[in-house]
This record gives sequence, C-alpha cells and structure tokens, in this order.
Amino acid sequence: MSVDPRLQAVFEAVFGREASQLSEQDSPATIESWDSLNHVYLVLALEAEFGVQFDAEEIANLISVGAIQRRLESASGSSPARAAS
Amino acid sequence: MTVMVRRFKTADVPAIERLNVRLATAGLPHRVGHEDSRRSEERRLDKESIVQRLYVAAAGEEIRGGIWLREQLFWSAGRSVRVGWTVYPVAESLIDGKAAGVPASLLFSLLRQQPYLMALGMGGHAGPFAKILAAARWAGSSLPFFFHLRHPSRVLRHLAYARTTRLRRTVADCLAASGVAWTANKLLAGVRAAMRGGRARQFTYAVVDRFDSWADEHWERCRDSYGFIAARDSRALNALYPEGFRCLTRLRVQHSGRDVGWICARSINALGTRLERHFGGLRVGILTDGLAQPGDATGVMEAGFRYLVDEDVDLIVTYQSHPAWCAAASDIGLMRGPSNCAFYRSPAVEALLTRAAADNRHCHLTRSDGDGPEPV
Repeated sequence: MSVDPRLQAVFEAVFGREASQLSEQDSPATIESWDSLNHVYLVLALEAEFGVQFDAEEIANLISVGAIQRRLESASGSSPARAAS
Repeated sequence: MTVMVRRFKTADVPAIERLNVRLATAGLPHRVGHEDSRRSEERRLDKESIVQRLYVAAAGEEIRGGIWLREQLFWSAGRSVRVGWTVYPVAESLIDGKAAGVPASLLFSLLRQQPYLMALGMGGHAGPFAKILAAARWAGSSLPFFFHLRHPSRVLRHLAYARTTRLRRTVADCLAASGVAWTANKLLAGVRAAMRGGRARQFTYAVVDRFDSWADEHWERCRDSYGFIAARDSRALNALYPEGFRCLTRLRVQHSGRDVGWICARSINALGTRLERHFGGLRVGILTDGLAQPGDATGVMEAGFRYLVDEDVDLIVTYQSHPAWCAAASDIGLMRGPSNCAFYRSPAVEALLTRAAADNRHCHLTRSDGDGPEPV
C-alpha cells in the first residue's frame, strides 16, 4: 500500500527532508527526529489536515506511518484523502 | 503492543520498577513513583485539600510512562474551581523512540480528566515537557523570580551559576575580593529603603506553628482581590505546610494589632541538601508563599524579609506572579532575575486568567504552587 500524498505532505511539514520518501514501515526507528515533541506536532498537524480528532490513548499508538494511515482510513471509510471530505 | 493510559493499580509496582531500572541503566535520573498501596480509600477533594493520583501508560505487562495529577481547589471570579497540576511526567520515550507518543498520550488523557490543567517549573521553557506543552498550544509564561544578596562575596564564591565558566568564576572572584559587590549591594539596598518609606516596618510578625481560624477569616477577606488563586484556608495551608515541615516558618503578620496577612519563610543551609547543586554552602532564604490584600503585600513581604535577615541568610529569593507581589519584592530591595520557572496552562485555565485580568484581578502563584514546597 502506498503512502497517501496528503499524509506524505504532513510528514514532510513536520519532519522535513527526513520524511521525503515515506514507506508504511517508517517509524521513530527510521525517522530520527520523530521524538515525543515532534509527535505532538505530528498529531496536531494530522488532526488539522484530515479533520479528525484522535483519542488521548490512541495517540501513543500512532507510532508508524502504517498505523497512522490505517487509522485515517478507518475514520474516512477508505483512503485518508476522504477523511476531511 | 498497544499502549493504554489508565489509573495506577497496585499490581503495576513491579512494572514501574522495571521501567525505572531501564531509565537508570540509560543513565537518566528520572523515575516514576507510585501511590501508597496501603491506602484503599479513594482520595477526594471534599475530604482533603490536595489530592494526587498517578496515571500510567501501560503496554501489556510493561509500564511505558507515568504522570501525576495533583488536584486542588482554586478561587476565581467568586467561585471555587477544581484545578489540576501535571506533576513529574516521565516516559520511556526518553530512551526508546517507540514510546514517542507516550508523553502526548499521558497529557491528553489527563486533560480529559481535568480540563483546568497547569504545569509549573519543569526546568524552564527549554525542558522537554515544557516544549511538549508549548507544542500542544498551551499558553506559557515564566513565574517572575526575585533575589537579594545579603552577603554578596559569599554568594559569588558559592553560587553555581556564578561558577559555570572560567570567565564567570574570574569575574565573581574579583568582585568578591574587591568588595565592589558588597558596596554596590549596600548602596542599592539603601536607595530602595529610602524610597519605600517607613510604613512597611510597622507590620509586625509572630511565628505560629499552624494556621487556624484567623487564617480562614483572612482568606475570606482576601480571595476576591485575586483573579485566580489556590485555596489558602487553614485546611489547605496545614496540608501544604504541615507541622514539622523542615526549615519552614509560618509568620502571622499584623498591622496595628489587626491581621493583615501571613508569609512562609524558609531558611535552609544548602550544604547536604538538594539545593547544594545550585547554592553550594550558602544559607538560602526563601519567601515561599504569602497572602495579603494586594495593598498590604509590601508590608507582609517585608516582615518575611526581616525574619530571614535575622536568620542571617546569605541570599533571599522568591517567585511571585501577582503584580502587587512583584512590586512588593522590588519595594523591599529584591532584584528581578532570570526565571527558570515556566508556567503553562490549558486553554480552560487561560480563559479564566484572561477573564479575571480584564477585571484587573490577577493570578497569585508562588513557587509553592505546582508540586508544593520542595522538601529538604
């Protein structure tokens, strides 16, 4: 499954060039600047871009690109691109 | 493994200890504590003035982080408001990127429990948790810090800040040896004393062992003068400053035989305590908390200052948020210094502060707020 372009854009906005070639497997293990501070920025940026609100508990589990993409798909019913539509 | 934030359970203690070992093995001093497992009854604010609960981020059998919610009653706009402080957040994200989401999850979970949420201290705005709060768009500011050097030469020779670089050490040693610091300090104190006049000195103080009904009456007279203030009735004060609290003196302050306030002063020989890291072998005086009508703040603070002078402390420090108490600190000869005490508040608290400030009522916070006065 390829990474949604809007999700790619959010990651690049938060993590810069480190996130320019995202794959589903990317996580704090592969993106060095994905720390607890940038995780807050990431969550807020995702909420703004996709019009979703994450539960407090699930924020700790959005810890890979694949997990985030799946969560956004479940919110929209299909692809993240539809989450805000 | 899915992470879940929930209340601490006694069965979590071994997993918390394993987390603490992992943190210690990585060379970090942080550790997650735990609630008193012998206590079965749930703590409630209608029975106790300050209630503290631990929330943990659990992943299967392991604990990935913890944060304390310390709740107490505040007074704002003529009513009691239950508010919370986030205290001692610790997460495994410090050593393991897989836990990067844990601090945010702990914070947002706490915010759901208690929308009126604040944090104080944290080593300043550069601290990791302060940065997370700022990223979460909480309003932030610094709690103003004031100090007075009574024995400048000793302070320059002992204060860690003055000795962190070779240049600072050289300048401090020269100032200490030359007597320039002593002379400048005396001149400044003399000018300040001449400017403030004699009214403040008419305030008398008596040392008391605890807060009684006089403190309740005083609280009820004063509380509406402030826009946002922690409950400072006798029950709250005796919980915060219990009898036997080391190196803390409660001063009941009067003017013309009438109660005008109280102030808590601490005289601490830093050697061998947690303060030694910053203050070396100095005797440190702290005006840690106080309450008066804003118009009496100078007299009450000056009473505390006099007490600490009699204790022969080397320097006197205080943190104050309210404009009248900041002015009082300046009036009695304290200088404002750089503060490492960050104050962050959730949007709900910020709304209360903004509303109160529009009515010219301001927030009264001291360094005793947050996690309370530091034991030594």
